[in-house]
Amino acid sequence: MNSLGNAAKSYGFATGLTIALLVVNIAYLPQFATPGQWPSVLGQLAPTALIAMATLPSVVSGGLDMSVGPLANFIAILYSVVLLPHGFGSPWVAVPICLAVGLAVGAVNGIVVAILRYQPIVATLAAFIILDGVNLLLAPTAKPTPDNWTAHLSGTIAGVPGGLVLIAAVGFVWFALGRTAFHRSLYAVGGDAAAAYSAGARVTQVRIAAYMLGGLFASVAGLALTGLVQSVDSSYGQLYALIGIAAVAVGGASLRGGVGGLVGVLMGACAIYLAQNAMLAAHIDILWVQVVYGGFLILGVVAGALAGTTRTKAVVA
Amino acid sequence: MSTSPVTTSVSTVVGFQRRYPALQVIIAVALFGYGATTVDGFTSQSSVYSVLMLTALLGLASVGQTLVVLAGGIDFSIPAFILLGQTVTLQLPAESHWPVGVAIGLGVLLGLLAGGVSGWICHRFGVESLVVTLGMSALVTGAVQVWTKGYFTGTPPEWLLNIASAAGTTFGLPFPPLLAIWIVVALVAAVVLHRTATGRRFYAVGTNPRAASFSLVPVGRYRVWVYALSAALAVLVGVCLAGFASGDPNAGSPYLFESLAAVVIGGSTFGGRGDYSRTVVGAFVIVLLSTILIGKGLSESAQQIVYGVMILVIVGGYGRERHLRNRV
Repeated sequence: MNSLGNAAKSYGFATGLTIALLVVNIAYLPQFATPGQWPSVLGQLAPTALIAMATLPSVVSGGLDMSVGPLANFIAILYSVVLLPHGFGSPWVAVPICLAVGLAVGAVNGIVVAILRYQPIVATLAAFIILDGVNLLLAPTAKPTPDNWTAHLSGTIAGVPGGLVLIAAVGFVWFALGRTAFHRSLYAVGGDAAAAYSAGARVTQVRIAAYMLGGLFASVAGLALTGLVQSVDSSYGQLYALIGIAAVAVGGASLRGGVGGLVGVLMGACAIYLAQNAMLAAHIDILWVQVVYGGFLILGVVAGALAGTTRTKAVVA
Repeated sequence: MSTSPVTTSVSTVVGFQRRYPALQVIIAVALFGYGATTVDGFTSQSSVYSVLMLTALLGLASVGQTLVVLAGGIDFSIPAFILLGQTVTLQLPAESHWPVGVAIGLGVLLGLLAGGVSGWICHRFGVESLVVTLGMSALVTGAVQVWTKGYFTGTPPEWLLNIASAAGTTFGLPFPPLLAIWIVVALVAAVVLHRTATGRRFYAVGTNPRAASFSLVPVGRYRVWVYALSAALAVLVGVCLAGFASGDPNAGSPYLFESLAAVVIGGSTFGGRGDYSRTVVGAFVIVLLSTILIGKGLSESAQQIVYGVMILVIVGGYGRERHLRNRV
């Protein structure tokens, strides 16, 4: 009960912001509210939201995975450049391969952080640079992807928006894990690793699992990205890497670990996407978009922290 | 229980490595030796000078990053302030007929102000510097782009070209001024950090801010100044880059990660041990490594992959955390 109240406060700000920005979007673009638009809106939101969700497990575990953006782009490029041309393009073959690759890269990150004891930011920054290099190797120039089934991911699957299906799938995995001991260990390790270790939590395994989970979610984000852009471009990775961290911070998760939830991060991602969309809809000069985005980021993280402060005080009192 | 001679000598080596960047220096020397023996023209005067100039620029761009990391944060706004420095140097004299000196002064002032605001926000609201500096970076970059529409019109003045050139002269001596500036900055940083009360208080703020504030160290003021200095120094690097790579608005972007890599390879830790001389060695390692990779004719993608792996290999020798059972 108590934890539920805390969670509501930590993402209350991001939720309020999302609702306000949704109203702004609908005011400028009335068609934004028509159900026919929802598949394309959710398709555009999905890569941002999924990369933010992929950043969450490592952040909660007290670390940080900088490499989920390039990893998602690697999966997108892997599908378009390697799997599809070699006849492995069907979803029944490609999806398991992509998910396995995401898990494997996450496991490597986790092992480097948890067993080899590198600082998370150093380890995942190196992974960021390496993955970006691999992406550049596989896709030296931007080019379109041939027609394939992933187009449904930014459209509809059996009448349901594809973006919603992917976000819901990741959400299902996260909340299913919420029923297990892993979930509690993850927050304990992020809150105070030494205390969790003393209490008998398997810190190393929990940390590796956190990065693997992030890698798994990042591979889903990669599929969403392929569905949305239908092309390969090695520069997408960097673009999404920083948005993911921003969404996590605005969504009330603490980069110090142990605090944050999936709903908050999802709301943070929605707020960032809607803010960008609203600026485009209001015909604000594209050059101003970055200024507003920067201010939004600072205000968002400060407001999130202020909400967090009241929470901490309430707990202490 | 007596300790065996082997354990003692191991702990002596570890203690020495903890105090001095010995492994880092060995790696830098080894890289130079490897480059000199396997890459043609690596030891030619022009090549050595270009390595020195690039290292000086990276070193200057990493001063602020070193301070921020030692204070327990991270600065992702360095490229934005480099862009600001380039812009004021090239744009204001060309468009508004400002004297270059005044334009640079204004740039440094703006840097101090914006960096200080980042530091104040991080301190006052207890939020992550990574996100705040990322936001400030977008804010500054966006503002500059609104102003310049994305490209520069002016040309750098003669004296600035001299500063940024490997063939430049310092007070008539045939020594690149940029290198001279860097040496002075490195010496000042070493003296201030290790020999003054300011330096000691600064380390106290980074290692344990609570204890520092109980010892009446003005923690907030130190944090504001660290971020302000980092931004102002990045503006000055931008001024130099305006002479070095005059019209390229993206000249600062590699410094986002390279400044952090220089600090980490140097062996400074977040909110803890380290100093600027370590970053100097780290900057040499990075520039030597990338010069060798380019000299070997590797493609950009292969360079990047090797570079990423090398960061892990190098840092693995000394930059890892203690095991949890030793932290309980």
